[in-house]
Amino acid sequence: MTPENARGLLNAYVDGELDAASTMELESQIRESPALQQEFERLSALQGLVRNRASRFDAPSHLADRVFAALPEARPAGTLKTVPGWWRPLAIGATMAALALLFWSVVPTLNRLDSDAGPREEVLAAHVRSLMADHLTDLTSAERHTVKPWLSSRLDFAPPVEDLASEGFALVGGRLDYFGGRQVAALVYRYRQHIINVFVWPSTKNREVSVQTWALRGYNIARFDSRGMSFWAVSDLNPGDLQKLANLLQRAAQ
Amino acid sequence: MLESKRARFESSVSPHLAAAYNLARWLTHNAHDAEDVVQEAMLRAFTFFDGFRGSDARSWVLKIVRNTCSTWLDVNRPRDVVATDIDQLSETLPSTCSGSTDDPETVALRKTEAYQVDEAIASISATFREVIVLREIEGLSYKEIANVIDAPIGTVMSRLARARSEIRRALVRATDPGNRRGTG
Repeated sequence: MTPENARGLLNAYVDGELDAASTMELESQIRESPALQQEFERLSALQGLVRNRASRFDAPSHLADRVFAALPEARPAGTLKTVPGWWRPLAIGATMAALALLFWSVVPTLNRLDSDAGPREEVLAAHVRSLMADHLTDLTSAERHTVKPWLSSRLDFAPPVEDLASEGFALVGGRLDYFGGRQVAALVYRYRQHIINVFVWPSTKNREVSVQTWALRGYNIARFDSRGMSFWAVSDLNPGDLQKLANLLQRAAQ
Repeated sequence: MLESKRARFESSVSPHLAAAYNLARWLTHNAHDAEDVVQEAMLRAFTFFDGFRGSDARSWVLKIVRNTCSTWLDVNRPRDVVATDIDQLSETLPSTCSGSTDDPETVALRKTEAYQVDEAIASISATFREVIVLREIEGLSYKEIANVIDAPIGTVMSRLARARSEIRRALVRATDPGNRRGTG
């Protein structure tokens, strides 16, 4: 990797889009070159500034109504006249019943990982397993620019990785896990003597869900959805501090 | 059939209207035009919806919004792609940042970091602005951005690099009073 190449890859690096091998090579170059180090810091600072300060313009509340009202008519005029009037409520009723049946039979399978309480047991099991099997992390690193690309290159999604050491939650590393029928990212944090697993996977909800917490067999669980991802934090940490971590992660993800 | 197409369309597209509007707003610089563009884009999207088989509805929606914006800008603001006139652009900056002119609070507000960042992003050309908005505000991956702008990932990377260096230059210009009227 020439210095010019390295400079060119810095953008991909701060974006967490560099593959693991190039990441390691670039990181060693950054350590050796003060100029590259400075460039990396400037780029990270700029990225942070833009991410945190740039406006996201809110759509006016009437936009959806306006957009969908402008779509072509639902049915070509005249079609309804061929159907006897008494038949329509029956048809609507039958459709709704069919939809309800479909919803009841299909959606629970599709959304197993997205139902609010569903994966609590699986989340807890994965946490306990990670502690028992002495296999806490696949990649041990406190550097989020290392953990994030490592995970992204092995998953079909890019989990947000935050360094919250300044708040007492030290990033220990990352791990791949599998439950509920799909791959999930596990981020491992340490808070004093407590290990926290934060499981992340893509949500199908596409909306913000604020932090909820549960206690389950002596462990605490906190979850929220942000930016199309579901986050589940689990630990033997007290519920207040776990909720604090969840709030910090949610704020960082937004 | 049309009824169910409509329902499927609404449920696929609704979650991405906010992103669609934000992109259109950044590209047109204007709330009213952004609404028009989003509406036109969604009409187009509805027409093409039968051909949409992908799983990534967000990229698909943003791609159509982006192309609609591009056509719209060609017609309505042929010079926008090279616009660099900060004074002219500041009239169309976010409403939360502008306001009545002499109010000292507003003057202070205009100097905030957020305002400068918005102004810097608004000052770069649409080609570079769109990748920054998609990456930093909407959080799209390189692959998703490549899909939206219909370009290779290498192009996404080089445009982001160029966009960031231009934003940095604009920020330096804005924070250095001696340079404020510079030619850059």
